[in-house]
Amino acid sequence: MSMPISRREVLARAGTGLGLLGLAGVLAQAADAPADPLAPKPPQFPAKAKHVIHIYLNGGPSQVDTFDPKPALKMFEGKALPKGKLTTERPTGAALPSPFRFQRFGKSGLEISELFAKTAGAHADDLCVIRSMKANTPNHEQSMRLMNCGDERLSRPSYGAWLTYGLGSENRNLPGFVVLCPGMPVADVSNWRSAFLPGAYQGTYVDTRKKTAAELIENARNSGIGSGDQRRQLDALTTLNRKHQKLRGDNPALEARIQSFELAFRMQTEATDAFDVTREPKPIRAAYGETVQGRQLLIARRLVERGVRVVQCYHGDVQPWDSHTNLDKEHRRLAGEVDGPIAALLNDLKRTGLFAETLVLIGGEFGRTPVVELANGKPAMGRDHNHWGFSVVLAGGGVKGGTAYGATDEFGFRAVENPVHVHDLHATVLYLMGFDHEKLTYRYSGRDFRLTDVEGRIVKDIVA
Amino acid sequence: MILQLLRIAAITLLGFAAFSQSVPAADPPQVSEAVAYFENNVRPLLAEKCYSCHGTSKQKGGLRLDSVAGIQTGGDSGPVVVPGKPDESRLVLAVRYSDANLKMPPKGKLSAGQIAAVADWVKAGAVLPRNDIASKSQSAKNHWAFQTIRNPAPPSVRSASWVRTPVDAFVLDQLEARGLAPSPPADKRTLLRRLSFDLTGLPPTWSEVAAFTADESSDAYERAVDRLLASPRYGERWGRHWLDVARYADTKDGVLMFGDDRPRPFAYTYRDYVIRAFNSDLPYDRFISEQLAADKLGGSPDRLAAMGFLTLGRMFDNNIPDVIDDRIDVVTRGFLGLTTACARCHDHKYDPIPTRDYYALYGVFAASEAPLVPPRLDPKQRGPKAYEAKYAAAENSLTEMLEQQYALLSENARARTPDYLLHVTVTPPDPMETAIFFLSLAPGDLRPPIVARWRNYLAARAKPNDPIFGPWHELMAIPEADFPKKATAALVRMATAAGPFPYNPLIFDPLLAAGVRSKADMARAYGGVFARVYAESKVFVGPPDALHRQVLDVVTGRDSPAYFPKSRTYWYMSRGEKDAFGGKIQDLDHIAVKEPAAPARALCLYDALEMPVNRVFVRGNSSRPGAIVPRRFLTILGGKDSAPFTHGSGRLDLARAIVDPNNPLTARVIANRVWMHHFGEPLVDTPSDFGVRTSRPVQSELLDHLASTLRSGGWSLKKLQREIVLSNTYRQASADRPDAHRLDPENRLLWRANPRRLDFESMRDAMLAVSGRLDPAMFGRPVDVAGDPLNRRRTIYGIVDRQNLPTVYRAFDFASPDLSAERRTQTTVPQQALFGLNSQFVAEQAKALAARPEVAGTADPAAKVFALYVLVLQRMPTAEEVRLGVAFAQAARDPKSKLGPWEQWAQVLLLTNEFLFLD
Repeated sequence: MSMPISRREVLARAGTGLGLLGLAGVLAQAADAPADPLAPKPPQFPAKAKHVIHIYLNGGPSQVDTFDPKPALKMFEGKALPKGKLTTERPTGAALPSPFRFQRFGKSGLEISELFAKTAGAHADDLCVIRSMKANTPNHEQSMRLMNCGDERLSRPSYGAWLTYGLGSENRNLPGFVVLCPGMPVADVSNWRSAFLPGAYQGTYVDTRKKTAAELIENARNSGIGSGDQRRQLDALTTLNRKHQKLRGDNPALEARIQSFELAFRMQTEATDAFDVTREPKPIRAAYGETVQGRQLLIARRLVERGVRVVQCYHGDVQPWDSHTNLDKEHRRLAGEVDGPIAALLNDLKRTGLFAETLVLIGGEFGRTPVVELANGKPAMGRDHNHWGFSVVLAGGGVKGGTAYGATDEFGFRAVENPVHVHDLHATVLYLMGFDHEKLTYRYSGRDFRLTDVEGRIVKDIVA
Repeated sequence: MILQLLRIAAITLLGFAAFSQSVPAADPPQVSEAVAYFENNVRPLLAEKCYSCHGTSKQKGGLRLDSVAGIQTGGDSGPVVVPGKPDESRLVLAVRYSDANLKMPPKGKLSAGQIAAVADWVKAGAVLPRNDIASKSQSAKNHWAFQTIRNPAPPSVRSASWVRTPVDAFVLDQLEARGLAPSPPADKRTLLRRLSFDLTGLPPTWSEVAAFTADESSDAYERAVDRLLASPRYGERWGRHWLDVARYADTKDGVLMFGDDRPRPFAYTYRDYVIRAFNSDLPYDRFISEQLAADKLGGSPDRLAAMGFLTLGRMFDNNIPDVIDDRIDVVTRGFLGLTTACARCHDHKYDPIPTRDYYALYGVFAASEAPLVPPRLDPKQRGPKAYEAKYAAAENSLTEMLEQQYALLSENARARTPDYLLHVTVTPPDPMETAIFFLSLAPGDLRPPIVARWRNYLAARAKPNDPIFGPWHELMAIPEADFPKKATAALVRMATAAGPFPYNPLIFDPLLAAGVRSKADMARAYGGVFARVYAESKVFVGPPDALHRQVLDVVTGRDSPAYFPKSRTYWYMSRGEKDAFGGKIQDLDHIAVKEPAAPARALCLYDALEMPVNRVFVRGNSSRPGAIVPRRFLTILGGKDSAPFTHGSGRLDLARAIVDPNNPLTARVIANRVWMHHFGEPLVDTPSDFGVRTSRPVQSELLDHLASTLRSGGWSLKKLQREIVLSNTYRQASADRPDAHRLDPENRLLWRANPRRLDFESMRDAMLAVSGRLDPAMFGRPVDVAGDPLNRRRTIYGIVDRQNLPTVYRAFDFASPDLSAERRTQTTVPQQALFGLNSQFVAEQAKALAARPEVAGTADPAAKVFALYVLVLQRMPTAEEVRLGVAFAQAARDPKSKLGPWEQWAQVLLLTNEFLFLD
């Protein structure tokens, strides 16, 4: 299972970007591979991407206002759609054209609305928009869990847990799967749970409402013991443990625990460093913007750079993108918060050479209706949930830039051309990360479980 | 070798073919070998690689490979298997990828070994079981775990003097057979530490170790065993093991509309019940029965708390089929080691559990309901007056709302029969109306489940000659475009047909008179009759005549689509009422959770007032009811004609079937769990899955001995454990022995004790114990052990918030409370070390240790080191260790440290592997 890496390679890597992190990981791995669930493992086949950054616009961004232009809505403004409506969570009324302007961007001429003008302006030719996404249910909790865990209600591991189970972590001073959110999205921890997989694969949640690095990680620092004393504690501990180990040399768990203390000691610095955006040069920070979204995405880049496999950045507490009313103003505000930081992140990934190996995924748990929502029978100038058709955007790690895949009907209600179910998206993400979704399995309760259950089609057309 | 066997089998089979009609005898052994080859090597492969396109859901090319008949018949292009001729069998050609147009499975070639398995099987005659069910239960009947538990006689062994309890004879027999000797006994300190942690989850004290070490009497160990088994700490340890199986948590999961606050204020009553059950050595059969059916067993009312086992699972957004699935899962994996939940949508792929069996159990839980307000454990106990008044008011408000909503909504369901009829006539089925149970409904909206039931109802009733819906059937056959021309003519034909008139004139006459010109007209005409007859029934006094009764039944009968039981009212409420109702339940929980003196209540189940008709859900889809199945036990255990349960919901019958002496699983499964917690490794690797894919354990005789001991000992777990821990097997040292290690690296033969690591609870509790701060208080409401570093209670009393399990629990491999856990994973991650190095909890214990009089009371550094070793590790330090400790404490300290040198040293000892691992 362990990756064969020679000492020479280790030293070579130590001299380059990976530095001591790689070394620490490899040394520990040599000693205790079986006991460490996060030891790096190769994927099943050469991967297009090594990391995922999921910019999760939780609440459900409207596709017809962002990535899926539907001029036909204008013709029916205020009127019923000719083919009628689909059932969604709440009563809806007439067609509601987008208040936002769409325009063609880049050489590819990908049409995107003004809400994401910064991202599109700089990176349109790197974006792959899937316009034919579909889920099962027009409800947040179920769709959040479906998007994250491949099942609406049952206790299944999240895709981040599956990937960490499959790949381990390149950097063992940091968790393999990190979740950033200012607050807590709907369905809470179930979004990044490990369920029946070992607990080490569960996403490590970091509340980005807290600002300083030390606040962000539990037990990352000791307030009662200076680092000099702690070093001496550790040395004494190692001495005692080595002596204890002498008579019990066959038990790898003892060595694993000895190593884990050394790792933890380094992690105190390493982990807090990773979350400390003040270490970034000013211009970089300015490009992301000194806001929660900017800080989150910048932390995401710092984590990925350090070998973290999956970073999810939720837009906010509960479900910010849930614009049932007043969509014009709400969507403009929300996109305004995240468009600049996304553009900066993509720039930054390209600058640091991480773009090619990082899959960036942007989207929500579902989309919104092209028809107006009715509140007490009257138009509320917002849109209801829509799982029948919506868009997600991919970039980086092995996807075809400047493309739109699939399509919704002429009003943007239902995915009709090349529909991509959430299971298919999962199969594709696993594929890009080097896994056959049917073979990344875990035996539990008499069955080999997988992320896509009995579903999943790899969307090969979007793979570069 | 296998090939040879198969050939023999094939020849034999040919020979037997002539008799097969007239001699329904069991398959000859060679045939069953061949069938076993198919079952073990070919069928799993087909299941994994082929069923998705050639199974129940899809039959690409007209081919089904998931049944014997399908394999024999082949697909659109003819047979796929020619017995004996792999090169002519399309199945083999396909998997070989030799023909460019025929490559299967399309997603990737099978491995060479897999291809060979298919080819070998065909070559040897492509022997198939006679038919699936028979074969499954046939091969299942031979499965070791389904065999009756015999009480095997302890084998005679050469080194008979080593045998202290029968356990030793079984173990030694296996060791001797392989030329191995057992390990010498562990030293007394090691043994007492092992025993104390195993039985109580806590270390022995220094004085206990000292006394035990000094005690030369022959029964010293036995007395220690009895003392620890009698300790109240025992139930806190073994109860926790059971809570893993029971997926215990103190909160619900994210329930729609219930906001973020999800306490289950009385969940702890189940935890306390479990602790008491273990401490009092409640016989395991009784323990099972109370958890399933305490309401039926009599005895004191506090026993009702036992049923938390069923009710404390996740809420699954209030989707009842998922809640029931969770109950089936916890019962069958927990007690029986069977993964019955696999049979929810299709027959179990491996085990002999047909979908019918799943729904036979489903019916038991569908016929059981949690009362809206949980009953008091002690009916006489009252809390503070103000609290009781507040609770009663909230309870009334909730009950009133239920009554009012039920009256309103069931009246609506009936009175709006015309609307439902029209709707289902003019609209196609919408998946949302059946798959979604939580759409936001406005008061005027039709109720999706009622719409779905109308569709099913009409599909079942609209048949020729049905007195009510016969005409409906005839008219629906007319294309919409022809309706104006043909409908009335059709009705006239029906009216004038020869023979007795089969239709109810109350329906037929208005329909004929209406001159219907469309299907919608027809639905309206029907609706008009139902509305009128229903309205009249409310004002007329006296019973209706037979014709009226027939019409009225469609609207008000038990089988009417409009019917739903009161307990399901929530699922029919409009969004506003649903939120309000959820809010009232939450209010009740909040009132209770805020009052520390709130009298305990039991999260129990009762039988439903009206027993629902129990049906299979086709492919697990609750809106596709299929065949009726009685509530009964699993066929493989209860026999082919497993008798329907007769006591209400059948929970008590289910409990009896589980503890029945002929049930081969129950005793084996619990004996294996008990063994696992004493040895660190179970005898059967998958403690909650004893199905056919679980191979017979090396120590199967031992397992059967333990299971028989348990049953013959009146299901006393303590007696069983006593035999286990008194054995020489248990008392062995854990030191490695290269000779034995080479032969049996995993220690399956038990040539030594397994070294083990303390789990989270034992680690935390042990830290509290050695620092002298452990609060021995038992039972009661959960406390915050993860968030409050000053909390001194045992970890089992910590709140388990299923949706927000604290990081520290996860880091230390605490079992997920969302699913029944068969065993915990064991990982080593730096977050564990960070907790040790930096958490305030560990710092608190270190400080308390250094402040203990044994340490603080002396100024002599060596004496301090000595005292700390004795307290933390229950042994004296070596001279070298004393030097090390003294040197550590005397070295210059970091000015930033708030912890003193001895506190720091105490922490080091708490973090040692010696503290965390048991030899």
